[in-house]
Amino acid sequence: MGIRLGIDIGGTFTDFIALDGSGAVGVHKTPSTPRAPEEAVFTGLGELAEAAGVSLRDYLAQVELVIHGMTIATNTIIERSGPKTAVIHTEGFRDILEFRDGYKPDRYNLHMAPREPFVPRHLRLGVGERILHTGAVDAPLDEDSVRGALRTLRDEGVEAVAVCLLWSMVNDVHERRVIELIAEELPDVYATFSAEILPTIREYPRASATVLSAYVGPRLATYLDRLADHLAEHGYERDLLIMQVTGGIAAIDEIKRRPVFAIGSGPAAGPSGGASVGVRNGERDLLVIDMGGTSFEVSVVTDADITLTREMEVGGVPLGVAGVDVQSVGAGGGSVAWIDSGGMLRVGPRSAGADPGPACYGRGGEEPTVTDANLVLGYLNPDFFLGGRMELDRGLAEQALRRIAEPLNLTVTEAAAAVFRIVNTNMMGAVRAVTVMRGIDPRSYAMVTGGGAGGIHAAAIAEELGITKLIAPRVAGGLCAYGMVVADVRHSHVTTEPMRGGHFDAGAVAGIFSDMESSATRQLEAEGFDGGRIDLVRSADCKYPYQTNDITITLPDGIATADIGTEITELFHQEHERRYSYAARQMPVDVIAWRLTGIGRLPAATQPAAATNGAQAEGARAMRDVFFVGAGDSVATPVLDGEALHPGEQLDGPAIVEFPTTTVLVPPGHRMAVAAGGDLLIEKA
Amino acid sequence: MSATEPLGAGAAADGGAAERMDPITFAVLFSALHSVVEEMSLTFEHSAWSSILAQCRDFSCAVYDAGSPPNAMCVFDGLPVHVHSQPMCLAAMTEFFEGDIGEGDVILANSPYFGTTHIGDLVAVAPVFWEGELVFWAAATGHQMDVGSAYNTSVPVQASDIWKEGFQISPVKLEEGGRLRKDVLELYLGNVRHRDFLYGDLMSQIASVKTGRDRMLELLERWGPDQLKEFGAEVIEYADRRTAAQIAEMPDGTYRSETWVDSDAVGGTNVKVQCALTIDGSDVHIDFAGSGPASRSGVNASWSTCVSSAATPVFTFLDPDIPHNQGCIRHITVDAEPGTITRAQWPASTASATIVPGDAIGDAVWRCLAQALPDRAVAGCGRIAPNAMTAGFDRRVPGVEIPFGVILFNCSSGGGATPEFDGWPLMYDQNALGGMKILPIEVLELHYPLIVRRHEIREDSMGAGRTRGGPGLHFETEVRGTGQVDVYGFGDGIMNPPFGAYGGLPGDGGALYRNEPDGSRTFFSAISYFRVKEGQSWVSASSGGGGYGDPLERAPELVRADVRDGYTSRDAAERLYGVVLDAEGGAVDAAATAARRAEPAGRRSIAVIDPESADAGTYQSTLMGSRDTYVLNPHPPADADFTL
Repeated sequence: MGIRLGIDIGGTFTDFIALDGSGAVGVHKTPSTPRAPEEAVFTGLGELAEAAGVSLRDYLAQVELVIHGMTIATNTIIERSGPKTAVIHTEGFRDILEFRDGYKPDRYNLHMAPREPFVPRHLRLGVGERILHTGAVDAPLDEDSVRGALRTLRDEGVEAVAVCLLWSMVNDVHERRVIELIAEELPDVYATFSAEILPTIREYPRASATVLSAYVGPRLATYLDRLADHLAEHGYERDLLIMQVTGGIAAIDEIKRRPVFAIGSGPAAGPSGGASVGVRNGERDLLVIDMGGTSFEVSVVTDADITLTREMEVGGVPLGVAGVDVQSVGAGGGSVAWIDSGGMLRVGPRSAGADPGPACYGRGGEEPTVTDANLVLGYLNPDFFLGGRMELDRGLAEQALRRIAEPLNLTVTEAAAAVFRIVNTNMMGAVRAVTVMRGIDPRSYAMVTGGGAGGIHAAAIAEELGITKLIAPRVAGGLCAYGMVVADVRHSHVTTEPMRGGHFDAGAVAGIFSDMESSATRQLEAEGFDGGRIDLVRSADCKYPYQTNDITITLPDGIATADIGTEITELFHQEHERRYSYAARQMPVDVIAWRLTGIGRLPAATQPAAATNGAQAEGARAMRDVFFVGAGDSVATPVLDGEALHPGEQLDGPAIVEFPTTTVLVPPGHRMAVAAGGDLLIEKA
Repeated sequence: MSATEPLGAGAAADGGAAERMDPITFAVLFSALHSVVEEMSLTFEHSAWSSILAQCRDFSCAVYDAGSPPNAMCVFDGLPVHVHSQPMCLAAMTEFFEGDIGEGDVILANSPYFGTTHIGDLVAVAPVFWEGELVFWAAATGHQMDVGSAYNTSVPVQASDIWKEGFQISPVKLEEGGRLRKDVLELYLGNVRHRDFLYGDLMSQIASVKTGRDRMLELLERWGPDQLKEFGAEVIEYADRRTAAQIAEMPDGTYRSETWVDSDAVGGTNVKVQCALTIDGSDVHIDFAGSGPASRSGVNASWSTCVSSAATPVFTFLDPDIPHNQGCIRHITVDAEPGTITRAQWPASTASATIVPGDAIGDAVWRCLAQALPDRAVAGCGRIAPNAMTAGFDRRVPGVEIPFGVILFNCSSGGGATPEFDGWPLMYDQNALGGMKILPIEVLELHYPLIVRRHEIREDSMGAGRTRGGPGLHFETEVRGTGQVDVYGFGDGIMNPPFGAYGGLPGDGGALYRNEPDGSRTFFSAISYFRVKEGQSWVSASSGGGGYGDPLERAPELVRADVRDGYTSRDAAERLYGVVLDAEGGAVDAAATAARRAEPAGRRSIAVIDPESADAGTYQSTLMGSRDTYVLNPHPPADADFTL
């Protein structure tokens, strides 16, 4: 087996994870080049080859797979730097994007700018046509009105067009015809349609997914082609695979067809990375956290499977498509502590960012941040931040913390401890949102800690939630890039064909699934997977009659299609009861849509053999006074070099383990062991 | 902690959030309770069945202490009109069941004379016991799609008394000691229409309060009752301090306004709501003396609706994150004469209280606050538009008849402009302030035998101004697959549109009409009843919000963009904003605009509040042609058969 290469373009750094045949993991970082993101990729590849002492061609010849995640699509949306994009709707419904779901957040704040629709109104046009929920054509497509609309768009200089007509997911004949007319009238314009992108009920999310696809599609395609060409020119012969928002990967052609799936592609890999870390340490139920400079992300992995949600948003714009359920809160190292007008101490969501950054960076920041608190509490080493590349100034941190300590009548240390606790509470809220609020008891889950600051806060958060096991992976600093090299190929298929409860047409259901299954299989085979590596997972969007929300129920393998109605009904009752505490068993169950996920499993990455010597970890490079809640003011704590630890070693807390890109706190009453792969396993004694 | 300091403007800088409790524990518990209530809301929203709860979020959840009256530990993200009223209902329930409240009970009520807002709002509460002691309550209020009225609507505004209004639920235990009372459940379901989905809605509401109860028990286990009770006291003081400090900064004085309810459902028009708002130190007192008489219909405020609707506008002039618990509410007192439209007396119906006259009550208070605080004034929000309650039978599958009922909030009104921003679309009304959701057209058409013909922004529907109001909408619905539907309009403000402030103009008021087979239209007052037959359609046109500031001061480029986007017509651009566009309409003609804006005739006098008199709506009168007719307050005929 050759090298599997994960490349994650972030805002500051482009991360490379190289997993070789022996299971050894190499991490490399090179500064990102936002104006031409591929430049950083080319540079980094050159550096990797150079480090290996071979030419780029020889290096790429050893590479078995390149898997790539990037923020290009996300940034295009956030910066609004995409092409001039228009939408074509059913006449009478041009305001779908402006009405959204009709919800205004923050009830009592009337001094808020109204939401700016993603496409301005004069570029949202209606055309004559109407299809009903049954798929029947109520009014045929008025082609003159389409040509008229397209002429208007040509005059406006539109560069991309999204087509989203009502009920196109049950009958796409009008949308397809509009696409043909666009090809005739506006041959140079990029066009896409909603039945292709997201064939599900609810016009707003479907329109949003389609518009975002049109908006990011052209730039994404150009970028991906350039990158693929470069790789091909230098000897890489396989497909370039792309990380999707679903947590699975896909070939470039699939991404070009449905670009919305490349939005949020980087962070979506974190849970896959966490799942892989968990599984190799014998844990399949996991909370994967990632705490960086500005935000804290958490997601749930149950039975080694990532969790999806249909409520994905980027920059306030819903993606419409289901993506990895990553809950994010503005809680990171740079989060600012402040006192509100009622005298309550708050932390975040505002961040001091990278510039000026926390006060202790000495770049002119004066406000106290979480990093300042962590420094004062002894969690961070002023001389070993980023492996010693940046020096932290404790005096400046204390000075900043005085701004909150004095009005609250606290000492500087007490104020720092307060900041630590409050930011932990904010993060706990995010953890609760993806666990308790979805009917999941976090106490039976292990926590995987990612990001630079995750290892400092994880134990405290875990303690509050009753979680007793923590895993701090060696790859914590690059958990997302790592997730890319261990994720599966994953494609989502959906067919909207509502069936009323008790009236399931088994033959029709069998037909729906067999159509989706054969197209999923064809797609995966074309990507090089043979039958043994293909999984097909069926699910259905279910609800009670009259109930307007639905739940996606996964159907177990091997259901006889004849019994599918009974099976679905029972599974839905169970899931409804688990989530919402009741089931209406006297009621039938409706299905709105049928889903199929095609999964192509990559060969498992090899792991180095375990070495279990049971030796006490030694070699503390220093002792440091560290504050632990409930353990008195400060405790003399050994500080260890993480890179010098050996598999099998263990120690009892308190201890601090320092890596160049992350710090791990082992509080008193906890025991840490070094796992075979070098991950740290921390358990409450 | 520092000693308690006098309340007042300096309170923000005093010794921290809590006077006795350490500030960190206080902040941690504040967030913890926030998550409890959020989880209650999510449970309700995700598991409810009918669109009014699951999609439109016409519900509110909160946690209270066991004080008398109960104090809110955490109110969060609910509908404003429920904030004041929910604890009033809880107080009535605890008084009713005094000495007979046990672990595992779940209590219901919908009677406005036991503190609910109107009969449509069912309140469910669950006590939280700790070691045998009642310590907290989890509560959820949710709008039910039927109330067992003589009329097939959950807002039976035509009812002249509580017996016509519907099935009155005084406090009753649905669960007792953890056991579901099947007798009570059947008594309820047997007295309402659509029992299947009302059952689902009820179960989701119960699941919400039980979730609240269970989470509070976990918090009790973690923190102990003493600490939580202390937090309860502290959070009241915290809200009190912040509220007092901010009201103290407002200019003292008495500000007066009047506004009018379009019609009272029984032929009376322009019923007055009169308001005097006094800012005195750190308190606000609101008095509705002089308001019109109570109506012989459901167009009356229950007492809890009156105080809620009156307090909500004041909340919007405070920091939005102040908890609206009793510490905040105690600074806002309300008076209304019994027997007026602002405070009905038993046995008067209050079926539409939360909107008519609740919206007008709030409107009157916003008019006073606009005078008191010009720089933070908010122009008038549209009142509840003709959001018709629609009921009938779904007969789309041959041989199957399924009764249905739905409220179509999709056509809701625009919000008022502020000094900084244009208004929002879809603010719903004074008492929801944008806190509901619309029904996706495809979900609507899948669930109900209705086809939506148009759902779009309506040009020139909003008040012009330096900042303009949020747009009103056009919502046209056709009946298909049912035979006929009963439509109950329960709106307000067609005749009395959202006010403009400081030179801004009013919204246009909107209209409600049915398209007749002969091409004519029948216009209805906002409160009305009518039938729509198979293949026929009706239109709910909502009003845009009021504008703020002189329209002649709006940047010409913004006006041009509004014309291009179809919010503002070319004619209105010229007439109201003094902006002249070139022949193609693509660019501002700067010279013509300057000339036009300099014309003395184009200048209007700058009114603080516009209009100051009744009957100022313009849309309906502009739209009506010679063949069209107008009907005021039609009622269902005495022999109406709602099972047709």
